[in-house]
Amino acid sequence: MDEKIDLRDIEQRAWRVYMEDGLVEIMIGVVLFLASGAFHTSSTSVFLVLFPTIFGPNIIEAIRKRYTYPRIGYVKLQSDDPKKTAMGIFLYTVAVIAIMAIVLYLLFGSGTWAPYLLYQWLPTIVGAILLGAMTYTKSKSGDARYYAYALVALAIGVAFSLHRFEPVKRGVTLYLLLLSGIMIVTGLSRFAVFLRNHPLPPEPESSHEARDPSKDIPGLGVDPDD
Amino acid sequence: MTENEESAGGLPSIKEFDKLIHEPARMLIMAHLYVVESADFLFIMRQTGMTFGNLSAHMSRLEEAGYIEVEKGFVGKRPNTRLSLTEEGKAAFEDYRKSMRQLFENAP
Repeated sequence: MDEKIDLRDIEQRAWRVYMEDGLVEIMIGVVLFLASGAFHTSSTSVFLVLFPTIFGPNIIEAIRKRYTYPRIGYVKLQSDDPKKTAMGIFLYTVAVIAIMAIVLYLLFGSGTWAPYLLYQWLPTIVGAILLGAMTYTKSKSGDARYYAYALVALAIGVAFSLHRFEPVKRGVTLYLLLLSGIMIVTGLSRFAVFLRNHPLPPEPESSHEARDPSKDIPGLGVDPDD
Repeated sequence: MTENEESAGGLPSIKEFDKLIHEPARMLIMAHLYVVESADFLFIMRQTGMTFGNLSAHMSRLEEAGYIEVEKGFVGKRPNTRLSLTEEGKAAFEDYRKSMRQLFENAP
C-alpha cells in the first residue's frame, strides 16, 4: 500500500496547485519592474523594490483569499527552516557573484577591473540568481516550466551582457524591464486560465445531508463496521 | 500469520498495522495532510477525488481517533473547515509507513 502512495508526488502536486494561479509570477514581475526603475532613476528608489519584497506575500495572500482559495481550497505548504533558507539564498548569491568575479578577472585581468564591468555583467548575475530560485521552485513543485523561466532569464542575461549598452546601466534596466514584462504577462495569462478552469464551486452541501452512495468512488467507501 | 509481536521471518505482525489508517480513503487523507501544514476541506476533497460525504465521514473517524485536528470557521460568508495532522497523527502515520515498508522489504 505504502509504495502506491508517493508522498513526494503528493507534495509536489500540492505545490503545483498552490502556484497555479500565476500570482507568484506576477509578483516577481512587479519586483523586477520596480528594480529596473530603481536602476534607471536613483539609489533612493531601492525602497520601491523593498516594498513589494516585504509586503508582496501579504498582498498575494489577500488576492488568494478572494480568488484562489474559494475555487481550489486553501493549503499551507510546509516551509523549510527560514534561517536555513535565508542562509542558502545568501550563500548562493555570494557564490554566483564570486564565480562571476573570478571569471571576469580571468577574462579581463586585474588591470581592467572597473565598476562598468559589474554593470555590464549584472544581467548575467541576475539571471544566474534567478536560475537558482527557479531550480528550487522546480524541485518543490516538479513543474518543469520553472526551468524554462530560469533558462530564459539566464540566456537573456548573457545576451544583454555581451551586447555593449551605452550607458552601461541601460543594459541592466532594459534586462530587468524585459524580464518583468515576461513574468507579468505569463502570470496574468496563468491567472486568466486559472479563473476559467476553476469556476467558483456551488455553496457547500449541508453537513447534515444524507450521503449519496452512488456518487462514492469504488474502494473509497465507508465501511460501517470499520 | 500469528498475532505474536514477531512472526516467522521477522515480518511485522498483523496486530501492528493501524487499521484506522490502513483503510485506503483514510490513508489518502493522512498522506495528503502529512506533506502540508494544513489544508481545508475543499482542497483535500479535490486532491483526493472524494465526495463531500465520503470525506466528511472519514474525517470524523480520524478526528475521533485524535489523528487530525479540525477547525471550523468562516472565510467571508462561506464556512471553512481546516484540517491538519496532530502530533499523534503524524507519529501514527510514520509508524504505519514503517510497518508497511518492513512488510515489503522483508517479504520473499
